[in-house]
Amino acid sequence: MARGMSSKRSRKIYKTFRFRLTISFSLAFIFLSLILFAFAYFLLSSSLRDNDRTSVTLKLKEYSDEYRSGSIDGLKRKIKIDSGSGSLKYFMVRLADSQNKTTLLQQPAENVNYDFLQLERIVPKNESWIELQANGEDDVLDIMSARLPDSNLIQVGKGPEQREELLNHFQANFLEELFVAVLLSIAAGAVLSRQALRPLQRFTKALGPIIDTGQVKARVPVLRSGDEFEELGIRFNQAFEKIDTLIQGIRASMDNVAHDLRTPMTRLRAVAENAMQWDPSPEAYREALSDCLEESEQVLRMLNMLMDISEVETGSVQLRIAAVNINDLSTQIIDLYRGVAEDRNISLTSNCPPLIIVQGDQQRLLQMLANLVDNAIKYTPVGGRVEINASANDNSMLLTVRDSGTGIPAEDINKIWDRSFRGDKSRTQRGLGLGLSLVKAVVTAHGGTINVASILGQGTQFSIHLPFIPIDQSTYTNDLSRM
Amino acid sequence: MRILVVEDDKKIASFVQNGLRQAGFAVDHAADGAEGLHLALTVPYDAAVVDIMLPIRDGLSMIEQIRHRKINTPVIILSAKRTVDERVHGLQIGGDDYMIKPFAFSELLARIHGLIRRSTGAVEATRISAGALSIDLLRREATLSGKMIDLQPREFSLLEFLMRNAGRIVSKTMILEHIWDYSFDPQTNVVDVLICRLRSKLDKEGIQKIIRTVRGAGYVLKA
Repeated sequence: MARGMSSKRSRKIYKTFRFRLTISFSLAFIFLSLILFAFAYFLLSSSLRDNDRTSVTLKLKEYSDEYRSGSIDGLKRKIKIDSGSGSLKYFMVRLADSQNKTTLLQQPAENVNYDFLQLERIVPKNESWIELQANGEDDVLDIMSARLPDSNLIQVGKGPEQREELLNHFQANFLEELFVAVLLSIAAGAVLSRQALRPLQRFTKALGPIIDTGQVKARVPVLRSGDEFEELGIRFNQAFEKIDTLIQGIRASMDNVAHDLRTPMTRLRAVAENAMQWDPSPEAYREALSDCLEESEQVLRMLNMLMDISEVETGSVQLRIAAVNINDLSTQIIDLYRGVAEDRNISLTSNCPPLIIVQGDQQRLLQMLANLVDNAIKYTPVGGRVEINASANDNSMLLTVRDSGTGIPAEDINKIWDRSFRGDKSRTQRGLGLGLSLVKAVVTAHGGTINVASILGQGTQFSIHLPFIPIDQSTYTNDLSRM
Repeated sequence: MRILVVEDDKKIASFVQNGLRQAGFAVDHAADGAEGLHLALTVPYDAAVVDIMLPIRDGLSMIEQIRHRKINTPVIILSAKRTVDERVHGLQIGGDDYMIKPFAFSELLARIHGLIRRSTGAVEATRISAGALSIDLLRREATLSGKMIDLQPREFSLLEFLMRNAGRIVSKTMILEHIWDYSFDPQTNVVDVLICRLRSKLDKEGIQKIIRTVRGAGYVLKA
């Protein structure tokens, strides 16, 4: 139930990442547009004001010249003509006497409430601007003054009305365009975010069946786009593969446990049951109990071996990596198997250089070599020989275990690594048939490779290549002394 | 000598208790970590056997507490986990030895004897005798009624190990670990082979059947 709810839960639209992405995109767009507008508005308005002041200056020069050449009447006539033609619509013209009393005032046509009496209180300087603020409004009249030869004063000013009309027009246009642009940006944001999130939706879709059915074989589709999503897809699939390997390892070892344990468990049961049915002597009880102990010991050994293999194969237990001298391993193994070899009159020898160091898990490598030697002795007839050889080149080291044994038939040579495989000869022997799978697992976990070459009736050679990491000899001896 | 057993599984606990009592120890049993800690802090024990997975308080934290209170009773950890990390962790925290379930009782007994011997600092004998058989640990020589027996080094080590544990069963695992320092399970019977050689040498000198096989359990030396 809970699963059904979680996979079919429809999220509220405003909580989706797509929605948030779209909104962020639009907001960013609007914000940038507004900044652009403010900048343009500021530039436009200041350049329009400059324009207005230039026209004021020109007008002032024109009227001063008119006054000089045709006295006050000529000026009045000129103003009349100009206002009639509408070219004085936004202008103010003021004439004053030497005491700055207004003698003539032409007001701008626009109905803005300027207090022109104020101008009588302001002593004008040549070539400087007076800004006359309108009563109760923001409008400012830019006024330029000029002293006439008869010490009268002429002033010409222009209000902001004309340029404001332009700016208002600009503003209205901009708002219209902004509205369209916002709609477009939302649409573009929606498309973009949909595009960007499509790979994510594919991942979600691929994960659905995995969660619902536990089917780990499913994979996320990876587009060769070379972007972050391809990387994510690849990583996803790698994770799935790893999980798959782990699960398969667990399944395989469960199968093997079930299969391999059945035999000793059956024997254990049979012995116990048998002893219960009869009414045997204390000695016979003792025998039966000893059998039980032996069989349970066998069960335990198998269990341990299977656990070992599965641990190494699935990497569930970390290798304890340290510097390992192959020669030490070989010496230890020869010491362990010397007795067995001598017993069967097999010559067991090692030919390793005194110092071949690899980085590895000492215990696991020891176990690996033991299994190989064990296997070799098992399949070598009396009077044969088993040799351990090691050599190294610049980047890898070669470890071989060679025997003069029975050899492996060609049709079996690929099956020897299977956990359930047992060569015919050993069926009656007490081998577990698991040794070689462990060897392979250890080699693989160390990043090495293992090969087998065999001639029937002449012998078998296992060759292990391990990546060889040259180590300063002094470091290695230090390691030893610490141990 | 008194031993504390902290184990929650009733069958295992009673099996260990009975075995230890038969071997001549006094035994106290605690079924959870809290009770175990209480006993360990109040009663002076010669050794303790502690399971890791316990109710109330786990074995490792119990051992940590004991060591924290400066109590140096030797402790053997019992665990169902067999990874090396687990073992290392147990020993770092203050355990003295580590055994993986299922275990052979004979092995547990031998390890307890070993720990007690070490913790009481008993003076190591340089010569061990069993009947007419005698070994000199310094010169690494074995003699039977004064007559030298010619033994290989590994054969001598095995005889020494068996004589140190005379009368007690030693398992193949213990021999592998003790003689070769090898903690895995070689699939061939390397231990049997060494035992066989030692036996035949002793037989030749005239002491027969001093090393007996206890089928399914191991070997025992009886003078």
